Order: sequence, then structure tokens, then C-alpha cells
Amino acid sequence: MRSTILNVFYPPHFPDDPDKSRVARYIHVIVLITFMALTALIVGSLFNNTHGNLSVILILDLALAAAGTFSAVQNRRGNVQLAASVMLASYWCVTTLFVFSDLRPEILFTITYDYLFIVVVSGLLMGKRAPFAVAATSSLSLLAWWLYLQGSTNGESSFLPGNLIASSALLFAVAAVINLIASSLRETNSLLHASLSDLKRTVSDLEGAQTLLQQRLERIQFMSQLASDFVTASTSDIDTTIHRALEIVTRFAKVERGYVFLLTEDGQTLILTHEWCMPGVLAHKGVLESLAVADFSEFVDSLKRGEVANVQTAEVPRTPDTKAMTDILDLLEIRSFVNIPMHVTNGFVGFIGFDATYTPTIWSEETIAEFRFTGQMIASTLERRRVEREIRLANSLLEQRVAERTLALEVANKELEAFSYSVSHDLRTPLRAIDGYSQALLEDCSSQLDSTGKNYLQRTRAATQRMGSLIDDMLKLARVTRNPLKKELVDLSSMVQTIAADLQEQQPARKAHWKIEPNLIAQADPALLKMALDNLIGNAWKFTSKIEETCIEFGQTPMHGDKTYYVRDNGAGFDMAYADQLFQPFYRLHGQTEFEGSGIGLATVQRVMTRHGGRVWVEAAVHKGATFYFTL
Amino acid sequence: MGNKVILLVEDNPDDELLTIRALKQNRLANDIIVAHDGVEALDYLFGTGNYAGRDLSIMPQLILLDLKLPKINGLEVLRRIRENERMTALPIVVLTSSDEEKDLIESYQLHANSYVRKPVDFTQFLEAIRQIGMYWLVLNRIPS
Repeated sequence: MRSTILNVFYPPHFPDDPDKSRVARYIHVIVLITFMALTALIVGSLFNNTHGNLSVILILDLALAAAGTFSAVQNRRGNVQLAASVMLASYWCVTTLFVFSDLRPEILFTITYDYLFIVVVSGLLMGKRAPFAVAATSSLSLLAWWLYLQGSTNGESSFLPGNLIASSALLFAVAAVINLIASSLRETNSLLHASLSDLKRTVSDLEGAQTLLQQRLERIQFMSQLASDFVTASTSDIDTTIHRALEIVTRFAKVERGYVFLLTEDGQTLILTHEWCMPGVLAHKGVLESLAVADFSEFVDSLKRGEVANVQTAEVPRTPDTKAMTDILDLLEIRSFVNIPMHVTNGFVGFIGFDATYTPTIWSEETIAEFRFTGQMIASTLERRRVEREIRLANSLLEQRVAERTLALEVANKELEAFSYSVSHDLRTPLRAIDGYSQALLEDCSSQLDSTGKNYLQRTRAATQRMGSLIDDMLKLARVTRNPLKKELVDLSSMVQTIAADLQEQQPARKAHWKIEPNLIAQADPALLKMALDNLIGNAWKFTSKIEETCIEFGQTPMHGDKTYYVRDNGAGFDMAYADQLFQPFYRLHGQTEFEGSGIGLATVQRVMTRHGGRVWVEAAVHKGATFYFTL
Repeated sequence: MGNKVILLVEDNPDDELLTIRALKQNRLANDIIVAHDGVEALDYLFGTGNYAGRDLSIMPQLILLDLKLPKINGLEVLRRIRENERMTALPIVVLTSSDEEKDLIESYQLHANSYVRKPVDFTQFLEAIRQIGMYWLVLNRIPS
């Protein structure tokens, strides 16, 4: 109750209509002021009876108070126009009554001001016609008052009709002006109102867009999280990752079941591999774990074409043709489902599906795109796992094959070793016998042999010895590959020096000029390198034997970027056309009578260099010597 | 050169004949005992088998040992000889066709006194035998 009384002192407010609030506030103020004025007037009248007729004034006052109260109540109720009309009408009535209660002509202007006030207020608070209506009724009231005045004073009044006309004109002029101002205010107001509602619409549009954007952002974050989960999942974690992804996506899409079916290798069956169900929802597992492609050929074909199966159970016709599908839908209590094919480079591999079991759901294009994305992530991750497994299998097969080959090689090596041993021992023994008996014949039976016989025996012995050295060379060649490489720092220069000194010692009469670059050190197997250098320097020595002054060089050259060593001689040389074949075992460029040799030496050299990861090549010309280059 | 005995361990009859010829040409052999396999060689040295009851006070002045032998091979023979304390000072020259580094190393590990490869050239072979005989039978001294 108290609050109702206090409410009177507060202006009413209409949150959805600021215009109305404003007008109601004005009315509120005017009603309050009027109340206070009337109260003052009534109190004043009680103490000072200036009008003489107190009862009339009291009645008027009470009537005005009732109108004001009614106006205030209507104002508060929101009937602002009615409140304004009642208030102005009562004010007008009071003013008019006062006019008729006072017959002094000089109050014309005072009265006119009162009327003007009502015109202005009605123009501001009420419709377009209100100020003119007020001006017209006020003018009529003034006319009536003047006529009454004329009648009661018998025309003796100094009151001129010109004054009356001027007052009326003033009332109409003010009404016109105030109408103009009010209508322009109203126009501005409606414009403002229109732009305000425009603004409101824009704001709500923006808010909508922002919400949409926020949702998109969430989706993107969610999908990128999913993608990164899949990319980083190790092969052993893939199943866990897929189950988690199904849970997240299913929950996100607000459905109850997410699952993956994969095509078997023979392409005959689709098998349930992963599934997540909301707790309390029936799972595929144990109910429908595989689909025979032949039974659902139409469905599988459309998936293979990349089409999405987006089905509302209520819309599926119940015919014998669709019975297989509707049985499943009923069995799993599916209201709607979406199945999206998964493809990898090799083609269709299966599908990802989501079921709504509580309420039929229509999925947006965006949601289906998310499902498809999830499916593709799963498919490519599973493909990755398949490839990784294949690689591992291939690797282990390869390892097994390598192990087998290694074993076979080891066996072969052992056999070769046994063979070499046998050759070394057994092949030489009969040779020695042939040589020995030939010698014995020459010694013991010399008298029975003529010179031809002796010559033949000599030749037999020579051939035997050549075969002996051939066997020795072959064994050396075999040994190069057989023994493990033992690398250490080798002083090539001093090795060559030693070889040169040995050769010179064997044939001290030969004139030879040795040019050996000092301090050439290399990382190599010393035994093998000795063998190679023996051959190279030995060759140089051999093929310069018919030259008057032998010149043999050993050194290093920055040729071909590597540390390249060379052995150069000024001997017989050879035609470069045969250079390719030079390193073949048993290949010889010179006849046995010209230069001795087995044809195995350079093959041995090449094998030594190859074992060190290097190579050997030659530059030569007939009668201009040869240069053998090698790298290690 | 008195009663100096040479034990020739050689399975190949040609090598046996040629070695004996070489020894004889170099006038080195008073008494040459030939064993044709590892077992026979050990029997002679230890007075077992065919040589049971042999006078063990007569020991060879030099053993020429081939490596590739039937039954018990040369390296095993060498090992068994050196296992016996009485025969640690017995001069043993490995005389073989083998040029294998492995055989060479193993022979010395088993305390062979020398390792000589039989040359194919009979002249060289003759020379080798001569030098071996000269050194081990003439120059070298062992405890009696």
C-alpha cells in the first residue's frame, strides 16, 4: 500500500516504449504541479475569501482534483493519451469557469495566456488536431464570455472586439506554430525510432553471426584436435584413438551411437571394427557385427560411389524389398542414421556411421562434413597402420633373407677356404713329382737320352714350374676376398721403397731411376696393399726390362678429388683399346715369351682396391709406358 | 754322421721318394725312417703299435713333418710330441705344400722349430733339403 502511494511521486516508465515514457513523465510532472497549485489555491481560498463564492470554488477544486487523480491513475496504467486529454480538458474547463466567474474585461489577456498554455501543451502531448481544437473552443468560449459581458454591462465596457479577434488569432497562430514544431518533432522522433530499430536489428544480426562464428570456431578446434590425435597416434594406440574419436564426435553431434565398418580383403563382407555407444544404448556388438555385401548390394554400391546414406526411419517404406534394412533399424531402435563412405587411395574401405535412437535427427551439412572428416581420418590412419605392418613384414622377410644369404655365403666361404687349402696342398704335390722325376731322369738316365729328349724334359720342368706359380697367384687372388680387412695406417712410400730395393737387388745390373714421393700414408690393410703394390711395381719393373734406362715413379695426384696414387713406368705400355680387359683374371696383353706372367696380378690389384672401397684404372700408350692410378 | 736318424712323416709316395732322393744326393741320410701317417709317426716315437718294443733310446735327430696326413694330421702329431716332456727339444721341421698363413701360425704355436714350404721346382727343393740337413743334422746340437 505504502509503495502504491509512494509510486505516485515517481514517473511511470514503459521499458519497451521510450516515447510513451517521456510523455507520461511530462504528464506526471504537470499533474503534480497542478495538484500543488490547487492545494495552495484551496488553502488560500479558505483563509482569504476573495471570490465570495467559496462553495463554487470548492466544488471546482474538488472536480479538478478528481480529474487530476483520474489522469494520474490513467497515466500510471499506461493510458497516456487519455490521461493527457482528461488533464487538459479539466484544466480548460476550470479556466473557462473562472472566465465566466469574473467579468472584468482586463482579464482577457490573462485568460488568453491560460488558453495558450493549454494549446501548447496539447500540441506537444496529443495529436495534430488537438491545438486547433483547443484554439477553436477557447475562441468560442472567449466570444461567449464577451457576448455575456456585453449583455451584462450594456455595451459600456471598454473591451473592444479587436482585442477578442487578436486573442483568437494569437491562439490559432500559436496552435499552427506548435503543430508545426510538434509534427517536426514527431517526424524526427519516428526517424530516430526507425534508425534505432534498424540498429537493434543490426546488433541482433551481429550477435547471431558471432554465435555462428563461435560455433564454427569450436568445430574447427574440435576437428583439428581430432586430426592431431590421429596424426600423432602410434600404431599400437590407433584403436584407442578411434574409439575416443567416435565418442567425442558422437557426443558432439548429440546422438547415441558411432561406429566403423570395414570391408574385408576379399570385398565380400563389411565388419564392425570400432564402436562407441552412449551408456544404456544397445550396441551393434553382439547384435550386428557384419554385413554381407551381397545382401546390401544397393546400399554398398551407393557408398562406393561416395554417396552418404542419410535416412529417417519413419520415411523408410515398409515393403518386402526394404525388409532387411527395416529389420535392422527396428532391432537397433534406430530413429535416424547417417552412414558415410571412407575412401583411401586404393578405393572404398568401409564406412563410418552414427545413429540417433532417442529422437529422429536431421543432420546439417556441416555435421555430415564433420562425420566425413572423422571417417577420412580413421580410414587414413588405418591405412597407415596397414602399410606400416606391410613394411614391417617386408622388413622381417628381408632380414630373414639376408640372414639366409649370409649363412649361404658363410658356407660358400668355408667351402672356398677348403678348396683353396686343397688346391694349395694337393695341386702342387703332383707338380713337384713331375718336376722331380724329370730332374731324376735327366740326372740318372742322361746317357740314354739324346738332346731332343733332354730338351723335352727341360720343357716339362719349365711348364711345371709355371703352373706352380700360376697356382700360387690364384691362391693369392682368392685370399684377397677371403680374409677380413684389417685397416691401419700404412706408409705407402716406404713399402714401395722396400719393393724397389728387392727388385733392384735381384737384378743389380739393371739401370733404374726410382722416383718415390715420400711420406704417403694411407688407412689400409697392409698385407693386401703390399700384395697390390708388389704387383704394380713388379709389373712396372717387368715391362721396363727391355728399356735401356728404367724410370719408375710412385706418387700422389689430386686428380678426381680423392687421394689418387699412381705408379708410372716408361716401359712397353699397351694399346688403350685393351685397357678394359686388363683387369680380368688370366687376361694377358703380352706373350709368355715376351713377358712372363700369369695374368692374375692386375685382377688381384683391382680386388684389393675394391675391397678398400677404391678403384684402379690405367693410362697407357704402346712403347710410351703406362700409369696405373688407384684410390683407397 | 754316425747313427743319426731322420724321421720322415709323409703320406705321398712321390714326395717320399723325392725327399729321400734329395737327402741321399746331399749325403745326409744314414738312417731314414718313413711314417706314412700320423699314427705311424707317433707309434714310432712312443714305441707303440707296429713299433711296440722298439729301443726308445734311439730317437730321431730330425723330424720332417708333412701337415696333411691320413688318420692323425701333422698339427695334431706336433701337439702330441710337444706334450711329451722328453721330446720338447726334438727338432721338428714342418715340410709341407701348404702356403696357408693359418698353418704357419699354428705350427709355431705348437712349437715347431721351422716351417719350410716344398717348392715345386725340384732344384729348389734339393737346395731346401740340403740346407735343412746341413743346419739341423750338422750344425745344430740337441741334448743327448
